[in-house]
Amino acid sequence: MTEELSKGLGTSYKEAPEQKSGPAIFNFLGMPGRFFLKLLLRPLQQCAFLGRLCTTALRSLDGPSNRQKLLLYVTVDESLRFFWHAFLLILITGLIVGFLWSIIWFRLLSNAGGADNLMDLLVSVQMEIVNPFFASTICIVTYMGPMTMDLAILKSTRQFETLSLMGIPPIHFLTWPKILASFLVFPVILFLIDFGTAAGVYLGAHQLISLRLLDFADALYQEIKEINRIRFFFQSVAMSLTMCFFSLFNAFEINENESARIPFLTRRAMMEAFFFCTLAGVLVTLLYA
Amino acid sequence: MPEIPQSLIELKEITISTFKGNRIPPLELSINKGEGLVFIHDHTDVLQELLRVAMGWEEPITGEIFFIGKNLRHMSYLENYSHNLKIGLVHRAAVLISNRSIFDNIMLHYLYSRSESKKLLKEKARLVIDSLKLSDYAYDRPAQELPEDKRRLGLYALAMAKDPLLYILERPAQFLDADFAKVWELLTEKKKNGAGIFVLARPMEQFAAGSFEKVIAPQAE
Repeated sequence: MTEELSKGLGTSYKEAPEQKSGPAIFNFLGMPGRFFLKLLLRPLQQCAFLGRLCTTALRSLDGPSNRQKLLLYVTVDESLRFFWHAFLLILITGLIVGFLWSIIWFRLLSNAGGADNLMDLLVSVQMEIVNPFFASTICIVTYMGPMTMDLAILKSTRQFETLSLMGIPPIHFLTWPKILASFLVFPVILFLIDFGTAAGVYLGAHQLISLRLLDFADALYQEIKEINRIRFFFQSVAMSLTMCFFSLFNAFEINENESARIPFLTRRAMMEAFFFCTLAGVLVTLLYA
Repeated sequence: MPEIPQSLIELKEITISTFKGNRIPPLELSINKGEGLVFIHDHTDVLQELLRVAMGWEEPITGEIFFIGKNLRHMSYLENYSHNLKIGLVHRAAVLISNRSIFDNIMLHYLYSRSESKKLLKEKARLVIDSLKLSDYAYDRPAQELPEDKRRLGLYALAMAKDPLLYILERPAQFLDADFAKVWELLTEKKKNGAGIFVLARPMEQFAAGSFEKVIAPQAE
């Protein structure tokens, strides 16, 4: 806008001050610098979020009895929702994988080493390494991802503020029921996929070599030792808490009126949850190897 | 139960600056029990900024805010939530929890914060809803499906259900028109029972000016 035009319109004109910018090379070097700074800050932000989560943990236990009942109701509701969204896919995946094992073992490998060796590989490879990977992927896609999106929508549409004004810390009310639901339901999901795998293997074995159910069950039972049970417990705890934490953290990162970022945050939440959950599972497996 | 001090909120030597660059001269105001104060300014960004400062959501450039004798700056993260229970805030961008009905919104607050029996709390919620003539809208439909004016009334119902010490209302007369007379009547009753009312409004939105004990209308800098 020129000075004459602005005078004609009756507005005041001020020339914008000349913006001094450095050479383009500084901007170019600044980009990786900013990238690495963000990378360094992120673990600190995650630790801060974890700290805030922990400070609100005891709010579930103190306060009026109505609060405990409300939180229990919400936890049960979340658990049922988690289970309902994941269980069918988990069972079907387990059955298909188990059936594939049978086909490969009894057809392609011509029953190399017999049913006992099959059980050994089924437990040590499929159930301890591959099934947790499948289970966590399915849980992230069916529950954690949508959960991140729901929470991000709540935050970006100022509903977190509404909860705060009701005296309800969102970081308590919206997180702990989900963390508990994840902790309680994921072992069940893991058990279901193992069950589905075993069922799939049996169905295949029964068709191909007429293996009896009792013989199959006995052989499987012999393979599952105390160490497997301990590993199962720690794996389910580590993986459930990890994927829940990263899903929640990314949801809480969004600011008000930033709805456009929700797809990006959901994608990042799912990727981080998948990566760190797999890492946690592998670490537990190696620890108890 | 400790006695509530006479002064509910005090803003001492507050200066604020908005994102549009508007400022107001250093501000001193206080609201005592049973008092109403209206702050009038042309610019909505000034009203919003003052509201955020009064709630403790933002720091003023200078000055301090005291709520029931306690400096907001010294409140811990969790103390803020107890502080929020004593304030009934309805501002322009406020929303209800959208997938719950007005009744469920009120009950969520009650169940989290109150120890009375569920039956008594439901009765209290119904009384608040009936006083605002929201019975046809408050029970079956989630907040996101309600018309704008009923949603605004729902926000007032939620604020009143908290039975706060201080009501803070940002430009309350907009959109409500006929309904707001009823809201104002109820709030005036609350004021007689000791609640304070702090209204932030633009000059053309002045209403029932006679019922405010204090009126502050600073000039912009």
